Amino acid sequence: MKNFKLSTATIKKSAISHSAIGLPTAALLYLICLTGTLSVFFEEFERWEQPTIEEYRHYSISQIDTAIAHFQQRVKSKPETLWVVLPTETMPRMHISGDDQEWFINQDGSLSAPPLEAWTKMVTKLHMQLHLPQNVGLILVGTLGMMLASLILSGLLSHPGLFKDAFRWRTGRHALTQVDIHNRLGVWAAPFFLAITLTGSFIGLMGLFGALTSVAFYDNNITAVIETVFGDDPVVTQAAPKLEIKKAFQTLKAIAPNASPNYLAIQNIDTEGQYMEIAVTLPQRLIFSEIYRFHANGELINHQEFSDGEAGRQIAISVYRLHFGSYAGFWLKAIYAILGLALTVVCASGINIWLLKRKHESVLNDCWVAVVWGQPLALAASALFSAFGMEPLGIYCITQVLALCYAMAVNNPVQTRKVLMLALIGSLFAIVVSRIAPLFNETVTAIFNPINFIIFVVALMLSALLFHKSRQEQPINPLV
Amino acid sequence: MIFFAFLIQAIGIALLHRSWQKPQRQTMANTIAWVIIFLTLWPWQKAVGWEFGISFWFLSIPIVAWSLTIAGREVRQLKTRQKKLANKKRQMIFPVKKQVTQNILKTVIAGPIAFMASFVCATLFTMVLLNMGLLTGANQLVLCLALMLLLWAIAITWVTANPVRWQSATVLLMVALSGPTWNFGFNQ
Repeated sequence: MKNFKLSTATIKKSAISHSAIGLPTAALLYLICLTGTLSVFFEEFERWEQPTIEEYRHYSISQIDTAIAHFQQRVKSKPETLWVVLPTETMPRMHISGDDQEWFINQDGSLSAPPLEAWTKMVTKLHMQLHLPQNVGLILVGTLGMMLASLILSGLLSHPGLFKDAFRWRTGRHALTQVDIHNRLGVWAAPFFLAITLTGSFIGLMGLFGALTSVAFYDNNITAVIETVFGDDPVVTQAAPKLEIKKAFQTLKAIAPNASPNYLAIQNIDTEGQYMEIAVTLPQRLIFSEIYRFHANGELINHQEFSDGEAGRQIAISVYRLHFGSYAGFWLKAIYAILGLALTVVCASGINIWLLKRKHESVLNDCWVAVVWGQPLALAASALFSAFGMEPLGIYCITQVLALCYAMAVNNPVQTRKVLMLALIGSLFAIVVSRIAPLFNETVTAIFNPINFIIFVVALMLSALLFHKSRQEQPINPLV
Repeated sequence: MIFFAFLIQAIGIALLHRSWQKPQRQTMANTIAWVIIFLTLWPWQKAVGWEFGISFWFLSIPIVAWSLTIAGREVRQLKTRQKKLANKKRQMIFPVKKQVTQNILKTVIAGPIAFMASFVCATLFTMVLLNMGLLTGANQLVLCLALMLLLWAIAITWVTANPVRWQSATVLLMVALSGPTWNFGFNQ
C-alpha cells in the first residue's frame, strides 16, 4: 500500500467520468435511492396503512382450510396458483390470493378486507420500475443501477486523498462541508452501495439477460433459462382429490425442524395435477426461501434446492434479501435505511458540489432544490392524501410539478428550499394527525403508533434543521 | 457474541482512525488495525453464521467510521458566504453543440453498445468454462450475469472518462456485434 498512488491522469479522467454520468442521472438516482430507503420498511408501512387488520403469529391448519373454502366461494374461477401467505415476525398477518384477488384472513379463517393498493405500493413501484410498464421500468432502473455502480467506481478512483481524509469532516464552510459529506458517506459505505446497486441491477436486468440468453442459446425458450437457474416445477398427473395440508406441514416439521414457513402455494387446485408448495426461511441463510413440494396427500415430492443446490442457484435466490435488507429483523432494516439515506444524501451532495463550483447560478439551481426537497414533499403529500382515499401517484406527480413551477417562478433556491421544507414538515405533522384522529378509540396494530411517532420525530428534526439553516443564512452582521 | 464482534471491530476502526490522523504513515499501526478488523469476521460468523456474519461485518464499518468522523468534525465559523452568495450571477449558459454531440455519442456507446459488448464477453468467458466442464448450467448463467454487470460498470466508466474516439468505439461495436453475428449468421 506504501506505493499505492493513482496517477493525476487517472484521477482527472475518473472525475470527468464521475460528472459525465452523475449530472444527467442524478435526479432519477436520487428518486430511486429515496424511495428505496422508504421501501426497506414496506411491510411496516403496509401495516400502518391498514392498522385495523387482525394480527397474530400463530395459525392453525383448520384456519387455512376455512380460508380456502371461503376464497373458493367468493372466486368462482380456479386460479392456477392459490397463495396462502402465512404470518411472520415482520408481517403478522395472513392473506390469501389467486387470480389477482386477495384478502386478509381473520383468526377464525373468514376473509377480511383486501390489501390496499395505496401509498406503500406506489412507493415500492416507483422504486422498482418508476411506474413505467414493468419490463421497461425494470430495465431502466437496472441500467441506472449500473450507472450508480460506475459512479462509485469513478468516485473512488477520482479521490486522491482516499485514506488521508477518510475521517475528515469540515463543517461551517458550505462547499467544503458538501464535499466532505459526499466523500465520507460515499467512501465508507462504498461496499454496501456496490452490493445494493449490483443486486438491484441483477434483479432488474435478469429478465433482459434471460431473454437475450434464450434467443442465443435456448431456442427462444425463456422458461428453460429460468428453470436452469431456479429449477423446474414437478409434473403431477394423478393427484389425490383431497388436499392434506396438515400432513404436509407435519412432514415439513420432520425434515426441516428449524424452518419458518412463509407461504403455502397450491398449484392446479382441484385438478389431477394439484400439489402443494411450502416456502420457508432457514436460520442464518440469506436465501429468499427454500421451497418444499408435497403431493396432495401430504407426501414430499422434492425441494427446489435453493439452500443446497448449485452455488449459482443459491446466489441468485440470495440477492433479493440482500437487496431488501429483510433478513435479520427490524434493526437491520434500520441500518439499511440509514445507509440508504446516506446514498440519497450522496446523490444530492454530488450535484450540490457541482452547482457550487459554477461561477454562476441558473434555473438548474432552482430545479435541483425542487427535486431534492420536492421529492420528499411529494411522497409525504401522497401519503397524507391517500389517507383520504385519493390516488397517491396523482398527488405525487402534481406536488412534484408544483414544486418545480414554484422554484422556477421564485428564482431563489434558498427561498424555495425554505418553503418546500416548511411544506414537508407541515405534511408530516398532518399525516400523523390524519392517521391517528379517525382511529383514536380503535384497536390498531402494534406498529401503528411507533410509525406515527417516528414520522413526528422526523418532522421535529426537519424543523430543527430548517431553524439551523435559517440562522446560518442570516447575515453575520446585518449592518455591514 | 454480536456485541463482542462489533466492539472489536469498532476498536480496529478506531485504531485506523488514530493512525490516519497522524501526519506520518504508521505502517505497523495500520497493519494491526486492518488485521483486527478482518479478524472480527470470525466472531461475526460464530454469532450469526458466515452469510449474515460477512454482511454484518460490512454494515458495521460505515456506522463506526461515520461515528468517529462526526465525533472528530472540524467546526469553522462562516464569515464570507453571504457576500459570495450575493455576488453569484444568475445566467443560463447553454452547452456547445460539440459537447452535446459528444454526450449523445457517449450515452449510445456506454449504454446499449457497452451492454452488448459486456454480454458477449461474459457469455464467451463462461461458455468456455462450461465447455471445459468447470461450470454447470445455473452457475454458468449466474456467473455470466454477474460478470456482465461488472464489465458493463467498468465499460461505462471507461467510455465516459475518455473523449469519444472512433478506434475505441469501433472496438466496442465490433465486440457487441460479434455475438449476434455469430449467433444469427454462422450458428443458424
